[in-house]
Amino acid sequence: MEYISNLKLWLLNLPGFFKRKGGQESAERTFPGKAVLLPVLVYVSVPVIFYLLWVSMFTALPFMQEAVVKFKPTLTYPEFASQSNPGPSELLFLQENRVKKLDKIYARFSNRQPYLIVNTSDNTFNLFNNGKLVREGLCSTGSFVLLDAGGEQKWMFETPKGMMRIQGKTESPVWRKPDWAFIEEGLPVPKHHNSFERYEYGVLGDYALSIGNGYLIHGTLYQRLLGMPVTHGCVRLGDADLEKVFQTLKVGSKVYIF
Amino acid sequence: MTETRKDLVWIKRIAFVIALGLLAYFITMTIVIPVYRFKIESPVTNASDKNIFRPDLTWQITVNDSIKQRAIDLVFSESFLLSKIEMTKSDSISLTVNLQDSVVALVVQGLTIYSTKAKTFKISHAFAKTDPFILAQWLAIPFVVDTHYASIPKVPVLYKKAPKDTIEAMSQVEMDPLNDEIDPVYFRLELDRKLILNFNQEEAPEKESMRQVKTYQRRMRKIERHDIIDHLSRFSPTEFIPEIHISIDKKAARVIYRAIPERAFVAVQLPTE
Repeated sequence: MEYISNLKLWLLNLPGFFKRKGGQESAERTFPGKAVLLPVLVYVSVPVIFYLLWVSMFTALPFMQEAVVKFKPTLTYPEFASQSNPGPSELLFLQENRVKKLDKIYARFSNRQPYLIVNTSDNTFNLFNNGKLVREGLCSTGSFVLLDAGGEQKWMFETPKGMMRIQGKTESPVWRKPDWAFIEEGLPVPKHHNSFERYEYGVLGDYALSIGNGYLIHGTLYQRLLGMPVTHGCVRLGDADLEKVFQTLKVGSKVYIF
Repeated sequence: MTETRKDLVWIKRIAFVIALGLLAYFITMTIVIPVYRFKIESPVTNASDKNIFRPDLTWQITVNDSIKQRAIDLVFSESFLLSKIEMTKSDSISLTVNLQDSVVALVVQGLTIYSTKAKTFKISHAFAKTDPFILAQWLAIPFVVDTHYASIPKVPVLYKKAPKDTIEAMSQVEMDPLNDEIDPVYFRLELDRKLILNFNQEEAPEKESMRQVKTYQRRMRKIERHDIIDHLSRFSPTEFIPEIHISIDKKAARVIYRAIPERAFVAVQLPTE
């Protein structure tokens, strides 16, 4: 209580302490002295130290746990002990055989058929045939633009990820513009799905390969944008790359997009 | 000594005892009990199932260390292969973390579609304290990603309002393609069966992106702190979950984080030495 009254006194004198004019009031007269400053220091520093300790304890917790785990004895599970006891060399042989067998099983999953891998982060592609890389290069994939036309009308221009299959192949494809293509350009959307305004020729390059849900692998007029995420979800390839992909992949071939 | 001074001394003593008590409570509930209770258990519940992986535990009693080490290597390989074969049943993108060869890869139905070298990695001491045969059994079934946190968005979205007419469409500034290459890439995958994978970019973050790194670290600490406080307030001990820290190329980290789907399968092979 004594400290508090001292502190009050010091706080009351504080303006005078900072506003000394011509030495009329000396620092000694208003300075509260050790009796007050020390408790103030204690009252301020203790919570600060406590807080820092608290925070550092949380931060250091994973390290402390790891340090304690180091001293933990190794866990063994006697209940799993085997009944049989063949010799070590025999066991090693059996174990090696098991691994070899599993290796063979897993190797069967490697694809000998032609397939395409599309990397949407780097906007690159790799074409494989007979397990060998036959072509690689740049492509363009979804721009991640969310087009908001108000209400329920929203489109996300993202290339789907996962394993797809080629569902159809077309030469000299024609683009049937979906609604978002008109909305994006500020044009009125034609009422009919087969309206002539929807059809655009020559914009998809020489070939198109469908991978389902309206997504295509096709060519582009904007070759300089290859390697960048600029599409509405389709995969765009350069002319020569598209031709090679078109010739290599068959209907049913796998396309891996990630 | 005055009465008030005596009171103050007592208050100080009581406060000191309370502080010590809290510290002891904190240490017991967050370190001692969780570490004591920690045990990697076989995920197999049905002991009569013949398809489950049962490493031949006779190795445990083998005295020859060199043979035992070879056996452990083989058992870990078998376990990893079993986990990968199990993952081929799914046609979505899965993640394989092979710390024996330091390779992190994306696979779909057994086909590696992307792989990168793990530059450095650090695994919890908890693994060294577990019987390798039980560990192999634990790893023989693929994990599933429960929760993920990252310093970058999983799906980067560029918002664009549709123009009202062609004039507005013409006047709209051409949107720059997404370019978040400067953003630091740190992510954390919390797997079912209590395992955490922390991936971080190998490169030191650029000066401009330090703020993002700090924000991510602060967020992670906040989540951990909330979890601890939640446990402590309920008088229940926290859980010790072993972690694996892996440093990979920044570009690869971005690719992997964005490629793996929600609830992705993860196969892990731990180093045997």
